[in-house]
Amino acid sequence: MSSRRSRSRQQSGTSRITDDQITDLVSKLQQLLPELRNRRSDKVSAAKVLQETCNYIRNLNREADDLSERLSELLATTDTAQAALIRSLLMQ
Amino acid sequence: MNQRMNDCVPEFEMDDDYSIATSSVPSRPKKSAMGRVEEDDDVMELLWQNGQVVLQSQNQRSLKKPTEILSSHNQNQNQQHLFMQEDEMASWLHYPLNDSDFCADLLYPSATCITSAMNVVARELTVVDSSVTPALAPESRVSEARRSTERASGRDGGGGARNLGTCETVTSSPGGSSASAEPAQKPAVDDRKRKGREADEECHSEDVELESADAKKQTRGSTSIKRSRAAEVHNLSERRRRDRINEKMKALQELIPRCNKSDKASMLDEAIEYLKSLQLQVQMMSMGCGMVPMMFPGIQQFIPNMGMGMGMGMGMGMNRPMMPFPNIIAGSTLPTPTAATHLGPRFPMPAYMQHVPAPDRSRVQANNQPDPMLNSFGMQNPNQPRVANFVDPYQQYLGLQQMQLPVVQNQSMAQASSSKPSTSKGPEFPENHSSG
Repeated sequence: MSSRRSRSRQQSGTSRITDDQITDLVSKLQQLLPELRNRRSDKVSAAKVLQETCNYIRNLNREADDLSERLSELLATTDTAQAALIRSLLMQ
Repeated sequence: MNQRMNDCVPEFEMDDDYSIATSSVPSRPKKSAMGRVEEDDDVMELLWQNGQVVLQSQNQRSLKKPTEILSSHNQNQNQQHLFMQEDEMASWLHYPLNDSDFCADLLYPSATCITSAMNVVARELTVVDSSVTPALAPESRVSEARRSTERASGRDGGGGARNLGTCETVTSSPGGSSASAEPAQKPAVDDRKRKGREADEECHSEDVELESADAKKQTRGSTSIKRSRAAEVHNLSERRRRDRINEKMKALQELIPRCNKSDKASMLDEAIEYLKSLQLQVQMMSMGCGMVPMMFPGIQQFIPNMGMGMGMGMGMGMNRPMMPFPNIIAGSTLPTPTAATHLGPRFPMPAYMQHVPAPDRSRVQANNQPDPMLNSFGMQNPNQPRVANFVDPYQQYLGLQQMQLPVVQNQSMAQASSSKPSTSKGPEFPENHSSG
């Protein structure tokens, strides 16, 4: 067990990362996921969190693509000055 | 086990006493030798079932051999229970044999009493028997003793058969069976011998204890084997879990752009940051989508649609109407011909007010900008009451926000100017815009 841990620590490279840190990060990640946010943290495995993160990122990417498409279409139809203004607003 | 052995010690002492009492018999050696042979046979028979201990019982004295044998036997692991029994038996067995030897030594000069010799044999047999099957009832022991002694007496042809029949009672009152010829000498010798034997016994008991400790150690070893097996299983499941996590981690890494971190923690950090930025980006874009129609006063009611629809209603484009118009709007002629007709409202105004508080600032600005446009649209609209209907909540909204307007506007202007160069998620827009 300890050898395993030390091995995993070796894998993790130069920075000293404990399992606790990983768990901490995973729970942080979990807080960002709307599907898992309301669940109790001890009931969700790390693999599940990571899987959900992957799904969520894919969803967000698709959403962003759709939104940008829509935006571009919308902006194309509007006045260029206003479009420029909105674009500048969106850049923030 | 020790308890048992201690229990059996007084019995042997009784035997001792008994053999002292009967040691004056002259014809004893032969008988006892015979009895011993027979006893050995019996022991063999009895022990044959338990395997290799038999060898030991003929080797008589050595306790080390049995431990070796037993320990080698014990390597079968799953016979711990049996082993314990054998161990016990070995400790039991040792004494009868010892005892008979002792008797033989003692009884060389003595002669006559067949019955006592038989009794000794019977006694030993019963002892052995009880050791092999500890739960045996006393009656069966007696009968066993009787059988063996009868056999012995039949071979002998001696007249002590009747006496032997009651050997159990005789042994139960050891001292009084027969008179001794040398009462003075024997006790002393016997004392000495007994002391030696007691020491021997102690030694043996220590041996046995050692042996039992050994056995315990070995059982402990086997439990640790079990434990290690459980740990192995645990390790296996742990490894599987880690593999799954690593797999997901890799998938995540592929999803995160420009992430070439090899170690998990920074990977997760990166993922968290990326997720946050993505969320922000989507929020901003949906806000922007909500902002565009806001320039047209007629469709300001559909802002909630844009704002709320950012999650799942993404398929909705300008020329893809998703929802049928609700009654209010269906009855009205919409002032703006461009976007309003294509966008289906999903949420009533209050819902929007409640649910999307975030985009306020930008919308205020957006609202602020197209104010003249709104008026112009309103003037253009032939259907005044309807427009008033639409404008009413909007103006409420505006009026509410206008108190904060100067500050807000300043802020947003400052942000608009300052944040332009530092955008990380900007690239999508110009590209898309230029393409569209």
